[in-house]
Amino acid sequence: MINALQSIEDVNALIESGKTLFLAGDEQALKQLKPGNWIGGTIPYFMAETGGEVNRDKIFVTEVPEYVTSSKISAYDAEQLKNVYNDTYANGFSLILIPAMSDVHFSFALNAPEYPSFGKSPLVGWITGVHLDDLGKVTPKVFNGVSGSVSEKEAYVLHCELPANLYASLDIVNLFDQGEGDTLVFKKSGWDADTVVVNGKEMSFVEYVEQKGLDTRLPLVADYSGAKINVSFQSVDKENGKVVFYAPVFEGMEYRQAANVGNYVKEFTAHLPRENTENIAFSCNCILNFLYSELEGKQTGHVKGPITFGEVAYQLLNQTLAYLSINEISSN
Amino acid sequence: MQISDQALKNILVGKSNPQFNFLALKILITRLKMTAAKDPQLSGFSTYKKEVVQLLQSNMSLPSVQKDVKIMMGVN
Repeated sequence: MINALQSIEDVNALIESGKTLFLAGDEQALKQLKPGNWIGGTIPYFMAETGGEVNRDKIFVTEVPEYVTSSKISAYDAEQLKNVYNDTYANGFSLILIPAMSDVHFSFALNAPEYPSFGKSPLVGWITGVHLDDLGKVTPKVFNGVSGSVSEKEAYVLHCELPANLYASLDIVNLFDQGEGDTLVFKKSGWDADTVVVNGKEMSFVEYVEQKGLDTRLPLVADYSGAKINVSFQSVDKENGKVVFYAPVFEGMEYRQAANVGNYVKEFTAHLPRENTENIAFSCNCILNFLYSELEGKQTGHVKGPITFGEVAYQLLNQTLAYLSINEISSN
Repeated sequence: MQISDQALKNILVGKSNPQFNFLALKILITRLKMTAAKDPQLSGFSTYKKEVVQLLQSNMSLPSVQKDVKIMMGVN
């Protein structure tokens, strides 16, 4: 099973051989692919065999294992995406691609945990992006190799069914822990905030960030019943008096800014799963980790995949590695 | 599937804060706790419980879920 950067020629050979593929690559590279059973999202950043890599010419290939008994590709707009969990196979997993900054991105981020049948099967994937030099010039897109369609407004999902002796499980690696600082609560859910309640006292969030001199490379972290879930800072918009995020904050949730991680590569490698790593079928990591920790040319253990504008592990995540494993059901 | 109503109610109102193993359950429980914060009488409890049971039933083959079911049964 291939899980690696490949040349366009090699990817086309895989497509022509009938493989089902989940792809990541620059828009110009994806445009050169032949029709077939694949979906792809735009991004030129990867964690490859040789470490972090920016590459506009190659495509990261995740080959769907041959033991998958059935698969189907579905497209969803912002309204339809609530059905994504209902559409999953009873025993299987689903791989999702969502174009960044689209209505479907915003809707998924705010609403995924409330979708009907939430979590029925693992839903893993990523938010598609662009080379940072192209921000504002080209839009993130998703490609459907079966229909030939390309979209900047829809999410594409590859639903996969597993045989009865296998199960898929989805987990995350998040190096960030809640720090010892203030408790931050927001009065409404959203992608930006003008005010924040700091240890019970409401104030301007822009002023708070400035007064505290917050390092906005460190995300806000919430404790989801034992899972650390990040919300990353996008910008501090002094002119409009608001702080903008890469994922929504949720009303009533308690956040603290993350403690400093130190040596990202060392810590990341230490946190990676050590058992049954050969069972990891897909993973992706965040471009903010790639940038802030200067991962280009550095290896982060054995986990490979696209470096993305947001990760999906049941819901939207920031600055987190998401990975899908496929394991045999124990007979005990 | 039998899960303890009292164990789930204690979790939803924050009387107990078990560390779950299954990522989707962690997310769902957190969302339900936020909903329950606006419903202190837990008038929607049957709906909350149904969502939890459906999630666990759909994923019973996962070892993490089997551990979490014991927590929900009030065993651990």
